[in-house]
Amino acid sequence: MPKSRINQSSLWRVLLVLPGLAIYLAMIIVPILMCLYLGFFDWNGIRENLSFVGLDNFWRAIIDREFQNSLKTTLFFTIPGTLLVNLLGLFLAILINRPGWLSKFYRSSFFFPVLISTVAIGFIWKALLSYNGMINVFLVGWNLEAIDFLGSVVLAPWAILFVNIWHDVGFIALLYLAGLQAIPKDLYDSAAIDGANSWQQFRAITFPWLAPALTSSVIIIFTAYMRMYDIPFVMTSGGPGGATQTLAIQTIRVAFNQNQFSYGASLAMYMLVLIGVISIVLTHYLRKREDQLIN
Amino acid sequence: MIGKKLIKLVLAIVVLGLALPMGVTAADKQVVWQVWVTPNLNRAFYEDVVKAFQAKNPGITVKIVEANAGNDSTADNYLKLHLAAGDAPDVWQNFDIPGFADAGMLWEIPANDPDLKKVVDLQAASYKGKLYAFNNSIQPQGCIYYNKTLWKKAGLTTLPKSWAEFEAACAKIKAAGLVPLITGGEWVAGWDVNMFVSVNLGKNNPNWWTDKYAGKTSFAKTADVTESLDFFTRLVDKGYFNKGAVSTGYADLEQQFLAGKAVMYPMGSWFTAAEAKATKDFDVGVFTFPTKDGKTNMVRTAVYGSSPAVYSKSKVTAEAFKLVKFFVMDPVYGAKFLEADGLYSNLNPPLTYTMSPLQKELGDVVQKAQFRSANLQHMLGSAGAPGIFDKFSSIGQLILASGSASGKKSVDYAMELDDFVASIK
Amino acid sequence: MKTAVLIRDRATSFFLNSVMMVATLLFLVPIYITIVNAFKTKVDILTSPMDLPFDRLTLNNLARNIDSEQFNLLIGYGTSLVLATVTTLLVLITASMFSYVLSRRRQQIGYQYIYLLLLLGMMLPVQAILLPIVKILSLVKLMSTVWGVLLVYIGWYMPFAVFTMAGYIGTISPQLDEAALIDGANEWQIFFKVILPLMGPVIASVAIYIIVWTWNDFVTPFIILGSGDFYTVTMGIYRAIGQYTQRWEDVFAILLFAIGPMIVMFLFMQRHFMSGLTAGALKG
Repeated sequence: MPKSRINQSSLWRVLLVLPGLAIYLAMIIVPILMCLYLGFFDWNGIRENLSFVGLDNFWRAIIDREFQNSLKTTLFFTIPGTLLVNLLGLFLAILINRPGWLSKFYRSSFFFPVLISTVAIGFIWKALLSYNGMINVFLVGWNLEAIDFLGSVVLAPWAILFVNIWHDVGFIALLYLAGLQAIPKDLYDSAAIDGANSWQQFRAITFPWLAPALTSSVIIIFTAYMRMYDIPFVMTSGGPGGATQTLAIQTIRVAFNQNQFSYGASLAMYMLVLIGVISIVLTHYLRKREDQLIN
Repeated sequence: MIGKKLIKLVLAIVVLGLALPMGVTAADKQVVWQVWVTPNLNRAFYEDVVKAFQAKNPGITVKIVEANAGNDSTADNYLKLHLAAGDAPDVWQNFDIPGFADAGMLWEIPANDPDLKKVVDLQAASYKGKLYAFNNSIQPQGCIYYNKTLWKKAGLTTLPKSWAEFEAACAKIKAAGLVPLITGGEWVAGWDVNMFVSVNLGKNNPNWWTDKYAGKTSFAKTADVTESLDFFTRLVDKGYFNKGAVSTGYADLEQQFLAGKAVMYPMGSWFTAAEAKATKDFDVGVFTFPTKDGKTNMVRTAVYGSSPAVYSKSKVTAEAFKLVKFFVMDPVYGAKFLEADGLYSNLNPPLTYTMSPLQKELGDVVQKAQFRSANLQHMLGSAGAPGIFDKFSSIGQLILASGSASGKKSVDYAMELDDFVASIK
Repeated sequence: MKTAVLIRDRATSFFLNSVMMVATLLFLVPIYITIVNAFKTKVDILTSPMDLPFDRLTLNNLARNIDSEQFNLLIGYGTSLVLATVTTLLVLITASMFSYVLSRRRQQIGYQYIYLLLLLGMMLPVQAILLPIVKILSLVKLMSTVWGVLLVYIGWYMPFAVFTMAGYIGTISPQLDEAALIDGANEWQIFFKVILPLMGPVIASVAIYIIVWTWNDFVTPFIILGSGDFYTVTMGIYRAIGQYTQRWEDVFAILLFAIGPMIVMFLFMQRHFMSGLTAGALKG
């Protein structure tokens, strides 16, 4: 090809890529780098001159009991959360995978919460679960003891986990439903002829074929829950006593409320690395499984 | 065709959106005032002040920007954000002075300003020898309000001063089937911790932070800290607080007390302003937080000035300071400010307003208290460590939620506080 | 034997249906409570939260909260609407162009690095970059403005949009590109005249996601618009409800305003939502 033609080609490509890439670099990549840079100093968000402190902030995070606690809490939400949302989502998908208006109605009702803002959801459930909330109004009305769902160090995390699952399971159910409907029907027919019962059909046909849907669902929920902020922030502000404080909440609190932006930056870096590494490992493993199962 | 119509609609919205005003048009001398909005001090109140100020000072216009108590406990975050954005306001209100002063963000007010002669003990508000704001008011904080009707109903005749007397009173109230104390979660829990400790520590060692920074003492080694936390835990264990305290918010808390749901309500003096406006069927009295030895101490906010402060890099520092002085010293509006928040004037002659019976009673309590100390969060000798209040809140919430059943002892909490201070150097 | 199977199937069916009913109640009841109680007086709410007393319904709660000090409905809706539509438009334009090149050139090393860079953005918690973003926005004097939030959103949604669209473009045969190339078109023209027209479904998909996410987002506008003159619906309800958990008559009215638009949209566009959202996720 003549040289001028190639140059022109590259120019058009650059033009197509530039707007998106430029904004992305400016608003996302550069800030991450700034964040990493600041983690090595001791900026408090106000002062104009910083002093270099090397790895101090990063070391401090490791021995910080509050960080360990936030990590534990976040993992409590993420691991059971991912499992439960996927199990329940799959279960619901199977149940509504039949024709008819009733299934459509069920489908719509599960999906509904997904569209509502997490802030609104948080307040709605707060109105229901708080000590003077609707549910306790009922309990007291039936002469039972009121339960402090959100004020108990033991119950509050479960309440937050529950609300998150309530919000997200509908979406995952639909993902699995789409996956279910993509499975060729004749596979089931031949299995039935061979005498396989429902459970065996599920194990041999359904589950393997759902591998792509599973990969997507697990990654989506995992990355979302590791970054959980809105619902615990609105419902309990991370309390009581930090029992529902996630990494995201601690990071903002440290950076903004405690005048320690540099320490907050180091926490953010930990979050990024943690989520990144686990995501990559998880995706790799799930994709490999996908390939194996589809063949 | 729907497609074309949709595109037109979207374009219209886009154009509208982009035409949104993006900046402020400058007037002659404009002072940007960051106000602190609370249920007592609402937007309308500040706008009245601005109108009056502008009437008396032609050539100066004031723009109000709001930092809201609903979002934060101080204006610090708001200020930090706007400093980073390069559009910090000129007048700052309700924020932590030491941090910003150290960073050189505050304008030093001229101590020889003739108007400032009216302030009682002007230099008490100086930070590291410099004056950034002044104490136009006193805010008593360590108050426990009580429902006089329910107090009588429980068979109580005297007001408790010592821990022993206080516990006895609570027991009697509980025996009468009433709820002795009402408190809440989030920052209110931290408030309780601060007051329970400060009422003892403040009078026994008013230079505690100075000693702490010098390494002469620590939270864990200070009996006033651990024993006060024990006292607080005891009250929780005996069930003297309202059920579900941890998940009750400040606004609901106030409503519940005014509805007669509990006998005692620990809170700062700003409650008196709300009490004066509330309709209820009982009278409210007040006394100071109980101390271990029964000596009375009115814990009050003693920060580096209760007035707003001026931004060091403001282009209109003179005008900004005029606004500050007007806001807190004007006979009409300065008094309205005191009245709106239940404050007591620290000027000579003092600004007066029509005080409610409760406010008069509180003024009396302040006068008669044997001590009037500062509090642990802000200043005992030196400025308290920044961010420590969040730790108080966390501890308070845990104590309220489980009492001693949490397995943590007071000395454990104290050690956490020491760790925190050590980690921020 | 056949009857036994029939009965067992019926029993299973009945059992499963009951489970579904209970589950559906769990999902719908909180919404029902919010809607119903927004129209009741405080007394009614407290005495019988679940009831719908037709003779005592009131519009007072809603009227009182259309323009409260913390939350003016018009400003909230207006800001959220502008943000949602403009963000979507700009993301679609920039990301589609970007994803075309990325998809067609994915073998080249340079573009593989860009791919990794985008992956980084998908895993980032937004809180981590907020203060640096504020500094950057202030340098260009866009802090506390709607434009500032827009820029953040465009950067934020770029990875998702690019990956989804690139995946879709991968299913469009490159032979179309080659044919156009032979006809003398450059890449810009190939994209706009050949590829883009074929991207209808994925564009609809991505658009739906971004509209919903932007409308419901809280933290980013909260930090950037702050206490400025404009606020989104989510910011508005946070400020208005804040610490009040017991002023039911106001809390539910405000919540109804907040979730109302989504309810309406959902009722009218159910199918589009559900198919659009799932199609996108699976392809990605």
